[in-house]
Amino acid sequence: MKNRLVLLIMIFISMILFSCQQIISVDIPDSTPKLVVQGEILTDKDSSYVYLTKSVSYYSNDVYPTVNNAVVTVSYNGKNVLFKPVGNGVYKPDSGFVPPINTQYSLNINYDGNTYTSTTFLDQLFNIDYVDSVYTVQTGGGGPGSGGPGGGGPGGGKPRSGSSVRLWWTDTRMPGKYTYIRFRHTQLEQQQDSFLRNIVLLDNSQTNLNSQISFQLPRRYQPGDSVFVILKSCDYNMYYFFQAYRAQTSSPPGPFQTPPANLPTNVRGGAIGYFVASDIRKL
Amino acid sequence: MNFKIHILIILLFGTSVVFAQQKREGKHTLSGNIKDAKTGEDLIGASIYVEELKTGTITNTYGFYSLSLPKGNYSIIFSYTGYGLVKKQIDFSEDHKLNIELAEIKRELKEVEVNADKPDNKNVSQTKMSVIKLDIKEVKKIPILLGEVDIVKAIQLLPGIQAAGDGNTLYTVRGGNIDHNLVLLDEAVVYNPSHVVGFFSVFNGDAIKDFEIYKGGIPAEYGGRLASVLDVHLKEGNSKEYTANGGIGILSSRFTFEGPIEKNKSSFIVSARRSYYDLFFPFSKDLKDVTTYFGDLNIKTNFKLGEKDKLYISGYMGRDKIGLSSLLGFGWGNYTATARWNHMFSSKLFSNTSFVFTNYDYNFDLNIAKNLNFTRTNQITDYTLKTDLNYFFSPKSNLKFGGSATYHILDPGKIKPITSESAITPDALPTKYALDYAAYVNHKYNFSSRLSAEYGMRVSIFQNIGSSTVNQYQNGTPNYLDKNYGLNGEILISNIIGSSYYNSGSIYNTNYGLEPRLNITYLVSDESSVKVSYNRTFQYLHLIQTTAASTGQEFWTPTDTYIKPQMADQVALGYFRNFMENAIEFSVEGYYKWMTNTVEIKDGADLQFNNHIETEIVEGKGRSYGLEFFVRKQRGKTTGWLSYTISKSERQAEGVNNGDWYAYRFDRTHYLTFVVSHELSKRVNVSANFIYATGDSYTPAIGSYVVNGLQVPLYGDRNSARVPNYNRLDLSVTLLQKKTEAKPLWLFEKRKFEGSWVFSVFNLYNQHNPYTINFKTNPDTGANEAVKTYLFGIVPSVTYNFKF
Repeated sequence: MKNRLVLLIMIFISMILFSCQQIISVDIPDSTPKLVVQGEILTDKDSSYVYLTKSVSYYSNDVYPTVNNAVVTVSYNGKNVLFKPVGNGVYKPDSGFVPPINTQYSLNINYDGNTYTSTTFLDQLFNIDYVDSVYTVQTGGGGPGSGGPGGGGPGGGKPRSGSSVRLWWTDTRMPGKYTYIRFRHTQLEQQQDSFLRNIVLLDNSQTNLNSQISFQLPRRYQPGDSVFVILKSCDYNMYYFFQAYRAQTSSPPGPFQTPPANLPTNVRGGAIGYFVASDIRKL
Repeated sequence: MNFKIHILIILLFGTSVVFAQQKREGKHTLSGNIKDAKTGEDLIGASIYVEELKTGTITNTYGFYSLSLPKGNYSIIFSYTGYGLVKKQIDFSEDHKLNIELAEIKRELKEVEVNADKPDNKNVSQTKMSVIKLDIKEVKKIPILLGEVDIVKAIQLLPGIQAAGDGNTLYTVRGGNIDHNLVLLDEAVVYNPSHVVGFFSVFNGDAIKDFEIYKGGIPAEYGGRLASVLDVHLKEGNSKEYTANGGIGILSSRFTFEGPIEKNKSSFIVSARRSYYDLFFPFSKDLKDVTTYFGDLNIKTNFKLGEKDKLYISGYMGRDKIGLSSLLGFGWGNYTATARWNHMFSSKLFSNTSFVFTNYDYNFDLNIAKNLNFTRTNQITDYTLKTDLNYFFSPKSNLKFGGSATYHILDPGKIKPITSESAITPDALPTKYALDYAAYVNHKYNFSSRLSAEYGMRVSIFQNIGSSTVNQYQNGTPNYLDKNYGLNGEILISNIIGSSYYNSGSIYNTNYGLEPRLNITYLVSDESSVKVSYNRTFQYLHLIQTTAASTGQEFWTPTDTYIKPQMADQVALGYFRNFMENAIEFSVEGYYKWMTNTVEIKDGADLQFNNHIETEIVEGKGRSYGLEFFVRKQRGKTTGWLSYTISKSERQAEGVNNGDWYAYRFDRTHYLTFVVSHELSKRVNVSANFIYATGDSYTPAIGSYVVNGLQVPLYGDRNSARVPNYNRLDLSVTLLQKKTEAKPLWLFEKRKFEGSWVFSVFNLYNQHNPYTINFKTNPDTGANEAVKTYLFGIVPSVTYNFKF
């Protein structure tokens, strides 16, 4: 009887606390395609690129069309570097391009009679002093998300036992510099869902400067697991872009939903996307 | 001569002129208090009517009345809704003090001269419009989500007042924003009137004596919000005997204990609620990491200090805590305390002086890793001193005047690490300080037996105080429009170029507002009247909220150098008509409201822990207009009302939808409610309510693009689409148990025990009304989808209420 009562109340609570979702059909007018810019100036040799595509109607099943006939130029320190189309919407400079740090970069795109521009600043990133790990025993029962490589993090529940990876660094930059850290157990280049679960954004004005700090990856690892970590410096525009993306995609629907809004863009002229310059560290 | 001296002179001059005009010779005054015969509670708004002169007055918030009449012998009728009336023959050859006790109908009455209660025409004749008062006993009959009696859910069924989301206690009034509503609990501002993400309000139905809501024609004594005033009064406690009552529900319970401290002189009431559904969470695999509860406590006591003085002390404390796994959690709490001193200077001049404390805080905790975690807190604290005076010149003339001063302390954000290993360092945004003064005069005057008016002026001043650092911006504004930027060719740009520092205690910014108020009533006949009202209101504190409901992430920010006070002007015209000897009340009201300097959030605003919040919001304009129809029956076996509102509410702001007018988030063209309660027998009561409303507006996705390998929706104009229409039917059945004799226990004398079962069903036909619509990519198919989220299907509940 007691168990039945508990069951009844649990069903009742579930009815109340758990919202339900249904896919619905809404009338959406066709939208005018917009240019989408994804440009990164990276301190890794020959890794800088600009990727141009176009938006499509919401319910369109078309692939996102790439733009291959734009004229793309990146300027810095009085130099103009032409990014040439290499196919599939990607534009790259001639080989051997290594951008200098602490420099402002300007992007200029001419496409279909319109000009799109953007600027960004390449800040130097701190160096990683060393990496170590510490074994942590699970406290309490394991929750959802605790299984599999990389589990036990923000997926919910209590982290399982395992090794926590710690990165140690000393940030001597001025406050107000931004860093984002991506990590995964597979090659970074293959990851597609990195924004939500595998990125940590840091604003160094909220951490101790000029003294060594440790950063612990929010996962616990087992023997045999691999972890790949990449750290990038970024300017406020990029930090803001990531924050907005996270706010838009990570807020659950219902009472917690934030008002939908287009992601910010630092590209002038009516395009979507971002242009960022980053000093990069890979582990 | 500075501005403040000007105001003082105007107020004093205005008051003295009115005093001089009202001096009459050969008049005597009848004054006193009207109370409930059983509990000794003061009755607010009870009528005192002079038959021979066809005039009268009503009791004020403290049950006090005063009536000055020429010499003569008069029949005076004392009445109150739901109570038997008392008729007295008074010889007016000298001043009289007469306290009256009225008894609820169906109870044995001690007064010799007793008549059955008859409906009056107060809604037609009173010099007020756009104000509705509900009897708490009627509210208790309305079927409500989870059976929890809730005055806020009840007012959402009235014309012009709409819930801000399914099952939500936040509400909008006549197209205003959620924060445009002043919520007062014994004069203390309640900054967040909701529990559990808005599913319940903070008001415990067992502790509430009386409440009313103003949607327009707001008297000058109220200020600080644009759209409405919900004025809630707690019970004082039974001054005659000890009683207890409570309710046991599936998810929460409540208990109230009240009684005399000194019989007929002082009393107390303690009322508490606590949810306990979290106790069952450990049994669920899905819920075991969820911790959530709410609790609140109301305490009030009063002391009669003599014939002319009375002291009331009341307090509220409430807390919510919600934890979703070990990763994140949040919570909030309201704390209020009010000390009030009533003093009667004479039989005509009544005063109340109050000291009010209010605090609202929230916390948001994030615990990503052992060395990456923090708790972020935010709070607002007010200290208010206010005095209200009420001079009863004559049945024709009633003057109210007073003033208040409030000291606001706003902590917009503090961050602390949860564990000592956390890499997050403690941080705090600078505390903001402000002073808020107001003075008002409000005069009610009957020009003739048909024409009456209530007019007044409120002067409000808001000052920001140091220490503070104020940013300086390019072009002198925190947001300027760049026409060659952004998605639609224009975007708001912010560029800080410097800052100014102001020392502690220095006043660095002052705003003020003159707020005229006017109500005119013309009685066409005893059953019908035409009313017109105008009010201007200012609002100096603004709620910054982005989530669809109260989730503890919202915060209040003051008017300052860049954020201007919001202002609204509203005109309303109404026709009021009663039928069947006042048994049926009908009214239709039309209104138009202009709002300026509304606070609109920029697209994708970065609001959390932001020290330059002015860059994330833009000044807007608002306009709303509508027609409200209301038919109500308050007496008899069948009671209830039918309400229909047709309205429109829009906003305009630079940088939003290219500066075009757009629909307000909770703009609903049609809003129909039907509430009915029927007494099947002495022990069985059936109630139902039905709502039909046009869907809210939302921002639709119109396209899609890919960035960094992820599909991202491309949104169209803000609020340019509508969710499907809303409809819902609720039902409840109340079964009263036969009264039984209860044995004497402790303080309780030999008494009768009363119990009742309330069975209710929220959303009887299981309508899946959308709460939000969002756009996302199906991770399995890669297709873009529109997804409706609804919170409630059919929700049955049962509550057992008891009283002894």
